[in-house]
Amino acid sequence: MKKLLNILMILLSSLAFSQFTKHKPPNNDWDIYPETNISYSIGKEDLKEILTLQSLLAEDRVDEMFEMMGKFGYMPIPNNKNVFSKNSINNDITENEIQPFIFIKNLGNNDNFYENYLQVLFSLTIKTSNGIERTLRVNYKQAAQMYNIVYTLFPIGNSYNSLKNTYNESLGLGEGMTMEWVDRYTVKLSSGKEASIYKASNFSKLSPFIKKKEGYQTFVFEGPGKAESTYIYLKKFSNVPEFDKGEYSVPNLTLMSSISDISKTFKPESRKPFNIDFFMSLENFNDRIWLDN
Amino acid sequence: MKTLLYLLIFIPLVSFGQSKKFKKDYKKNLKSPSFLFMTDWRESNYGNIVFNENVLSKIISNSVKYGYKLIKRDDGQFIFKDGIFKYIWLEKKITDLNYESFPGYSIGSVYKKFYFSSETINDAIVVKVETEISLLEYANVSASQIINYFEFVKNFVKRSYLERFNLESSSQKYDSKSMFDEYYDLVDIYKIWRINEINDYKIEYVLSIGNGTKQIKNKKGSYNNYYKIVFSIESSMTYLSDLAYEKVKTQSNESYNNLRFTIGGEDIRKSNIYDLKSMVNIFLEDCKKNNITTPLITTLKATFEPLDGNTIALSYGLDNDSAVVIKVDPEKWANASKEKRWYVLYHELGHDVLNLDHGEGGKMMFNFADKEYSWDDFFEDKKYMLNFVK
Repeated sequence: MKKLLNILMILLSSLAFSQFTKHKPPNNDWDIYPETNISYSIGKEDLKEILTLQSLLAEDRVDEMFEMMGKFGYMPIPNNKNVFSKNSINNDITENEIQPFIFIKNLGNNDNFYENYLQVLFSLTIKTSNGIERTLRVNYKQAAQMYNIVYTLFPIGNSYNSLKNTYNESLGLGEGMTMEWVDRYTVKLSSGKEASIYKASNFSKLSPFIKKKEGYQTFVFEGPGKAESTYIYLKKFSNVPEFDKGEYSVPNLTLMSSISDISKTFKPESRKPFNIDFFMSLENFNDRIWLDN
Repeated sequence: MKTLLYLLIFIPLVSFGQSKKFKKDYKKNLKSPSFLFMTDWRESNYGNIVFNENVLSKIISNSVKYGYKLIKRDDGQFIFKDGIFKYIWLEKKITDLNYESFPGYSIGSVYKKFYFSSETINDAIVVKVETEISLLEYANVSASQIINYFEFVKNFVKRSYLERFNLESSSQKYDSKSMFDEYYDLVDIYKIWRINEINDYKIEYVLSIGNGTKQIKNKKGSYNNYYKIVFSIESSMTYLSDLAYEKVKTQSNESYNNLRFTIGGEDIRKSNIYDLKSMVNIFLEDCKKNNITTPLITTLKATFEPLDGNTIALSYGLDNDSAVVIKVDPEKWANASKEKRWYVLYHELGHDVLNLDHGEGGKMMFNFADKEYSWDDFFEDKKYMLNFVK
């Protein structure tokens, strides 16, 4: 009986002990952080502005780019080379909002991309003892939420060219399958009661034949202007904290405009310069499919 | 010893005389509404301009009485923007015999800028008033007349404020930016304060008083001096945000230049101007950066060789798309400025790579390198040339 009691004691204490020493895996979401309701109220406008700035950089229209930066409300961050943020002077910011920091970088001499490009860090406004400030280091929950918000800004779909070249008469359809172009940019594949709809978008995922950048989600923006396309690299959300104290980095976006296509047949001379007013006047990103000339 | 005695008697007489004259002029000018308007006397005495509501429209209507008119923008609007504030700009020409307190036969102008927050004149809260007076030295008005008059105005403004405010500190600033993006020689900056009797609130202002000169060429080809004074009053908060804005502006210019000067990842101001091939490669990179596809260059020959006459450089590859052949005169190249070297090289490569003739592609493709070029000339003319090809 005593032996049984001893076994029970050991078992119970080890259970209790294991409960207290249960190791927190890096991706475990313990509720030590309060729920924050992060919003990005002008996310779409910001993205439109960022694409405008990148398109102007790709055409070396530096004067206009700085003029637009001013109009969009970007100010340089003192003592930082080529770093800009919004509303720095009147500090018109509210808590738990995402706000971009823009870094203008140079890739140097290369044949694939225009040398000047943008990197965007999406900061979070937080309340501190000094008032509301922007931070580039956030907790797990905040980082995950911010990543999702930024990811969903992009209306990812199918590249117009690949949609057009794939879903045509030459497509071998399975038995009982039908294909219907609902409108110029939408195709419907049906099989019995099931249907799949494919829509053209200016934003698409990278072709599986192109080597992907490790650790990044890559989107391709086939937009207006002389650049062949703009590669948008969104750093993947990692469960592993990047800084001490278990802090995570805010979403990080890099935009690079390509000079030509893989076959090097694209010539920038074939395109009209980026039209700022027209692009900014569009309400939605896919109101105009730029590859459909 | 005798001389010293004379001096001791003479100096107090002079200073006493000056102070008496100043007092007399001060009293006289207190009766001139136009002078009081020009020197913002109502602000120093009654504090009813800065941080007061509904004053800007009154100022605009009063200004007409004293001969001022609103400066308008190209689109006809008269509200300008500078940094985080807006401003209206008044101008008064000192001609037409309206000399008032100015020295007789004066030629010049008074400019007043009223900076304000908010969007419209009706909602405007004035945060800063800046005044610049400039007078021309010519046969009828001597430099000493102008200087004496300006000294009086400066002292009048200073006294008006210091009679009613406490002086916290004073400092001097050299080469500060003028209204017209030029520079004043020296500006005295006074930090002043007083307690508002009604609510015990501490009012802190920055009073700036300075002067400068500008030379202008007359019809005879000789130069005349324009003498200027500036004075401004603003809240210390506005002064600090002005400083912050100035810093931001400088940083913006640095970023702008950083992008302009960097081609192929290299700052062209720092490139080796004796390595002609690398300079040609920078030009090719610049074409790429500007969305211009250049032909594949199989022959690139850029050499230093003496050239006849004033020619600094010559191209020999016009209409031969695969070859770039440039000859540069070593002596003239060594004596040219960095800006001119780049300008000349872009001109020659305009022929060689872009197949442009003189008269095509704007000023950069003009027949002669006719002057000393600035970096702004280089970027402006390069932009035109590359846009011509696009």
